Amino acid sequence: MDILTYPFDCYGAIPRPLILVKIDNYSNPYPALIDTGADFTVFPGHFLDELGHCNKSRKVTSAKAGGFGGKAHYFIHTLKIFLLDGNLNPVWDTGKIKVGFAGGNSGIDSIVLGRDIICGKWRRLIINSESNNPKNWSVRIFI
Amino acid sequence: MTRYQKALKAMHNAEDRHPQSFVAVDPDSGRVIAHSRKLSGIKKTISTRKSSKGLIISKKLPDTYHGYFNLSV
Repeated sequence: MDILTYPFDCYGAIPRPLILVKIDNYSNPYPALIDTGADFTVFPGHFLDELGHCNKSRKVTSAKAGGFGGKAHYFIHTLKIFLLDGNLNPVWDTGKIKVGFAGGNSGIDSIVLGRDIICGKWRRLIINSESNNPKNWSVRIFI
Repeated sequence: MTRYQKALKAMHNAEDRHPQSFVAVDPDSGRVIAHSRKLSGIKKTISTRKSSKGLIISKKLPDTYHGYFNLSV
């Protein structure tokens, strides 16, 4: 079992478990929020073009989802998400998984990694917040 | 500090400089390569670059942002 350790993201007013990931064969890293409250992984709608996906494809289905931000339509696409090492190289991937792309103005600006990955793909997730200083907190992912 | 940590820091510094926009930042130098209100604007700018590989593309998450998405039935 491998363990990937990431610093807890403390740059905003609220510390967040935000990690950098890569998608499919694209070389650009994107920030993604680890959200144990999310049933499934969600991408902002504007990532569609960026990743070369299209909602009109026959393989794409739609679903409704809700949260604090209200309800929205989601389009289900298939892709791979990679976790990175300290040198930004991909070291692990989810395999092809179904994720939702938010439709319309959903207010989602970041990739949200939900329990389909956290519980379905990872063996364990530990947020180490022992220190009083959030800058010393870390996210440990067991794969 | 690892390259990953430097990249995260560079990304947030860039987001702070352009809080309403998408930013494309070089993870090693911390240089903001492009910023635009629309992601397509970023793509347009970086497509003219020799190499846009490895640039971090992000947008500042508002402090009021909450995740928590649930499938509806």
